[in-house]
Amino acid sequence: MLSDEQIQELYAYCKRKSISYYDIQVEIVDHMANAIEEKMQTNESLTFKQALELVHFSFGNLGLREIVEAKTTTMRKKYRKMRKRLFYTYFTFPKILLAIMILLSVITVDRFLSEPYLIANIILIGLIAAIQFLRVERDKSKLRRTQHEKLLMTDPQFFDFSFYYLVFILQILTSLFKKPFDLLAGEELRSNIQIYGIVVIMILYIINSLVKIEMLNEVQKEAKNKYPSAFAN
Amino acid sequence: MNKSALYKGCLEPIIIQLLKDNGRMYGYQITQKARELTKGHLDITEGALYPLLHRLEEEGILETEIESAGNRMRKYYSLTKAGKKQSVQSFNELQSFLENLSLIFQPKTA
Repeated sequence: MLSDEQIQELYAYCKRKSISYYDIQVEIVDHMANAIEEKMQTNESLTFKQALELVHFSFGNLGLREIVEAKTTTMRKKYRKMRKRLFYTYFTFPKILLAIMILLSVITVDRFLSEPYLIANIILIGLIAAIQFLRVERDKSKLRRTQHEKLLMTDPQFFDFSFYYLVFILQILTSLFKKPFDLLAGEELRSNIQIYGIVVIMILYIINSLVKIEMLNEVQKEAKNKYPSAFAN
Repeated sequence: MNKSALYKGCLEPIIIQLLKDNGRMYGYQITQKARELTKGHLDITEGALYPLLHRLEEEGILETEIESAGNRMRKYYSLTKAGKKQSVQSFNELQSFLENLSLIFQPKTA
């Protein structure tokens, strides 16, 4: 049986080989420790260092990297599915009411009240979106603070998704087709489409943030359950 | 011909079958069991084993438990309910694969 120091040496070895995620290290360390113990039992003259070298040869640098890369791809797929599942729930009753209410508020104000009210309404929606942004950041930093070991399953790369690009697409489309739009529907309708378009993007952003918060909570719960030792008490 | 290339396509049903027969197992144990059963012919590399185990875990075919094993942590894999169903299917698929192969390779009697 390997000593505590030797196990710690294996963790250090993983870090040296760029395996910085604890959820992968745990498995690699146990695998290597088993292999080293077996080699040392078969050949009693082998030292720990020599056995580690032999085991490293069987793993190879590429082997270790492949494990991380494959796991990253698997996690990305898993989170994409999770994101879709959570996102679509906002388009079913009763959650869909949130989007309808925001959109209806803009249309009503636009129809029946003067421009300053419309601007105030849009600023209000922008504020809700900003609050959502802050909530997501708060949850992300909470996750970072409570974890004292880095986990691949909670890596920030899986939670960086948004709809910013839609703003640019909307801008490009409405300015690119400005003339045909104005000719066909009139200038007023084009500017309405721009306003409603931006509101729809803000609604998507708010939904996206709610999805992120749900995902972060779900993933954190799962991570705590699987790797309690990676979290501070 | 490279022996491991022949086994490569069958790795998933092999692992599912091993877990079905042995209950829960950890990574190193799977490689040892496969080697023992095939009298040293099947050497599952770590680079092939862990990506497959992680994929099956995320697909809901396998579930995991992490326990302390002396001074280190150990991750055990076992079949989920869906995994048990999958094991029947993968066994049947492998069986028909073997039958088809034997049609090509068995000595012709006629």
